[in-house]
Amino acid sequence: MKTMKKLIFSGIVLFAAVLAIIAFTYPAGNPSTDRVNPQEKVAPAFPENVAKVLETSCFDCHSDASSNAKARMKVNFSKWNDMSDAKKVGKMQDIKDMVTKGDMPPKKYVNNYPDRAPGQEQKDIISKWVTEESAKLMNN
Amino acid sequence: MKKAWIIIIAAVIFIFIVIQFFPPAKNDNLINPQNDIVFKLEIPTAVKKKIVNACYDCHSNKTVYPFYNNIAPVSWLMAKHIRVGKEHLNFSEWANYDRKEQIKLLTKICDEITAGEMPVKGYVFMHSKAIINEKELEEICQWTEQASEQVMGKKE
Repeated sequence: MKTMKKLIFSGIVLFAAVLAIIAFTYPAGNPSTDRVNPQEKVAPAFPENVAKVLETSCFDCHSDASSNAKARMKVNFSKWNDMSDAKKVGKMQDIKDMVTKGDMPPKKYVNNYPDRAPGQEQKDIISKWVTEESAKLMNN
Repeated sequence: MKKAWIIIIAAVIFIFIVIQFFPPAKNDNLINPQNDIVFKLEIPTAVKKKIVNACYDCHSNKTVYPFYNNIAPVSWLMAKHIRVGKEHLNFSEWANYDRKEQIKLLTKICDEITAGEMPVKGYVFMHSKAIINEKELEEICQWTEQASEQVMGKKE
């Protein structure tokens, strides 16, 4: 019976160890490299109020200033104007969905930087911009 | 102590048997086959074949089930994957998406495969037909761009 206890105990220890390893290897957030001069990073593609929201809540990961390659692959606002109109429409719809549903910015980011979380007013700005801008692009 | 183990094992077997009596509904109802993306957009044959093989089990109204799907709780897990998959994108209902949504989905098809988020790893592990190599990925992304342009060009 002693061996049984030992077995269970070592099982628990192993499990805890695995958990600990997972916890420590979990990828860190994406600490911004520099936020010194956000204006320079803004492509002139966005209306001023939209640019402000993007700068505050999105640029840390989704701009050339970010080291997060995956986030830049998904959308890089610094290279917004390099995209075709069709791509812009596709990305904008996704942005609208994500931001309205609260999937973006990610929870982890919002927890770390609560002051950069978009409020309802900011979300509405994005929503309105996406609706108007994609309508414009699609009727070109 | 020995007895306790026998009881535990018996209980597990009993529960396993009981859950077999609650099979989830099968994903197999092609009501409006003409709504499928293959009838709405131009798709190169190779790309068509790949997306049917790699995506349709969870992103269409017809799943080709493996034999182990008849065993709970695997069957439940699959049913959930399929339900969520179809919520995000259902190729069988393509005609019901508006143009903006179509362009968004096309864009995301390329993005998510490129990012390695799709197809889901566990699915690829069990289905070698779902492996998407570099060349196929390139063809898919080329197609999604062309298809987005095609949708852009359609005035309503």
